[in-house]
Amino acid sequence: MELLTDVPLVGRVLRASTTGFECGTRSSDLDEPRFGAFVQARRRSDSTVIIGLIYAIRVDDDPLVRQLIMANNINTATIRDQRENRMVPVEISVITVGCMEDGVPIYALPPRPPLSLDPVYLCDDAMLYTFTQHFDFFRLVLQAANVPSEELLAAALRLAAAVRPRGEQTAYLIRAGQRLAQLLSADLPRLNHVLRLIRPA
Amino acid sequence: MALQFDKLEAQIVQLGKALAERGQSAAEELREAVNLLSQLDDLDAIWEQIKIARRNDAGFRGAAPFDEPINQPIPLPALPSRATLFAADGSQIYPDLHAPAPYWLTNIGVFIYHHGTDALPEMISEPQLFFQDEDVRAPDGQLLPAAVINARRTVYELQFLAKVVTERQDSAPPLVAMCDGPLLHMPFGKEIPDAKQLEADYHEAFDFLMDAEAALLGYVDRPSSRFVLYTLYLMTLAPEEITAANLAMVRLEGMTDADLYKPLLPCGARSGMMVQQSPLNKDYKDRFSPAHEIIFFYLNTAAHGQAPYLARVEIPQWVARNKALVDAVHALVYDQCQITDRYPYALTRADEIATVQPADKRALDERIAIELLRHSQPVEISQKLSMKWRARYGRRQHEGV
Repeated sequence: MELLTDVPLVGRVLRASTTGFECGTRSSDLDEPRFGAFVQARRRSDSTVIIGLIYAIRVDDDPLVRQLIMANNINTATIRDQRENRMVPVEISVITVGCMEDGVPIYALPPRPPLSLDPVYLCDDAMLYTFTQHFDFFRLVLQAANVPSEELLAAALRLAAAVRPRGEQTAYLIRAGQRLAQLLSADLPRLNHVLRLIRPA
Repeated sequence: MALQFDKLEAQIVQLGKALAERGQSAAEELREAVNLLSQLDDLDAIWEQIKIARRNDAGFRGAAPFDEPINQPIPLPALPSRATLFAADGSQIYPDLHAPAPYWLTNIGVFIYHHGTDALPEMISEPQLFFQDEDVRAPDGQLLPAAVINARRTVYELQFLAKVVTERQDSAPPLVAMCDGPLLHMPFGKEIPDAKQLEADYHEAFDFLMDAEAALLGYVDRPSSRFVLYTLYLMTLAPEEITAANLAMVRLEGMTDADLYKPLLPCGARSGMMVQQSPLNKDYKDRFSPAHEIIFFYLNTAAHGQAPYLARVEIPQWVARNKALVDAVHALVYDQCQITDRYPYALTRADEIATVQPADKRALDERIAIELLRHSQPVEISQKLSMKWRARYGRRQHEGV
């Protein structure tokens, strides 16, 4: 499979299930992926594009890094060596929020998870705009265990708003808030928290 | 858990008691030794005793002074503003009866550190796979033993280090080429079929490094050597008492040269340079070149506020005779030890580059098996290995519902 060149590569799938996956990258490639970003995983010879949200980015330590910190005598060359040479892995956790078939969003879990080493890209603006037109993916996020749901949704919605024309951004966030009010009507503290997070500036 | 700790408990307690008792008596002897060392200002007198030991063929294996006092600390010199450090290490996969095909492998790693700049350090590794029958088996048909592989790996490390340094000899001087372990290696004995060739290759690598004007050094962490202690004992003997029988009687349990120098060397300081009196070192000098004779010093790699921690640094004579180069080695090795807490950062990384992990070996065995299958060669799985692996590592925890 040829790699896409017009969108940043986040990493490659390490392990996956239908509800989510983890991908790995190098610490030197950590500029693009961010919490709440929409990503797409493309399976080889499969037209389905799996859409997910980054909910955790982990940089593991190792004994040598701890030793360097304890010695407290780190210089730039050593930091560069650690980050660029040692291939310290960064693991990015993604929750699946739907998929796209021929450009049409489907707000359900995909039929199959991505495979190991499948590339994971950021969603481009057009894909992000299309996928976030409807809010049916909220339920998957709000019901996920071990995920900071409110913060994640808020970060995702801010990114989704940002790809819209300036005049539409506030209206978009208000619509999103109204949908959240329906979903979290039985949990007012949670609703209040997420509404505060997406409140337009 | 295979180890039955209830059966070991009493033995562990005995170990603790024995070491404590040995420590108590060693402490008193160490005080005497430190006192004796402090009085050894006359280098000529030391050499006089050594010459007597040589004449009497007494088998003296201690240390002789090179050209510096051995009872004075030599303080840390200024760090060069620029230098290029080349650190090498190696690892191996031994021939294995249970592998899909008989082979062995060495993997040499070189880490290049550009001291004084922010330049990204470089990593180079060189794996070599040996699988021809004449490379894998001894004349009697048995797979080569570990001692042979270790000897070859030692030489390949130095050869590859010399190759890389030679190719990069225009790098910022001084060039420092570091190996983990002594330069004065164990003699290649009769069990090494190509010992002579290996020795020749080893010393040829020395020559390449000397031609490149690189400072070669061997770094020995936590040395257990007693060379100076033997010298102190020699100095207590009257000339007529210097015999093989008397030298063999020395008992130094619980004491090493490191213990002797810990009170003497502040952080960053080194001892005077010394020459180990050994047949192998003499062989280096006589058979190959006086420049190849190995000189050593002890270095306190601890930072201020830490307890002393000594290493032994070995350098060939061509380096020892160049005081500017010795100062550079001293300062740069100490600087490297401050990055990774009392062990050179460059050697840590060289080891990491070189080390073949168990997962790497499994992957290599699988790859070899695939290649054999491609050529319709039979691949017989070792049932012994397979069963042992399952018994040792095949357990999973029941996670419930």
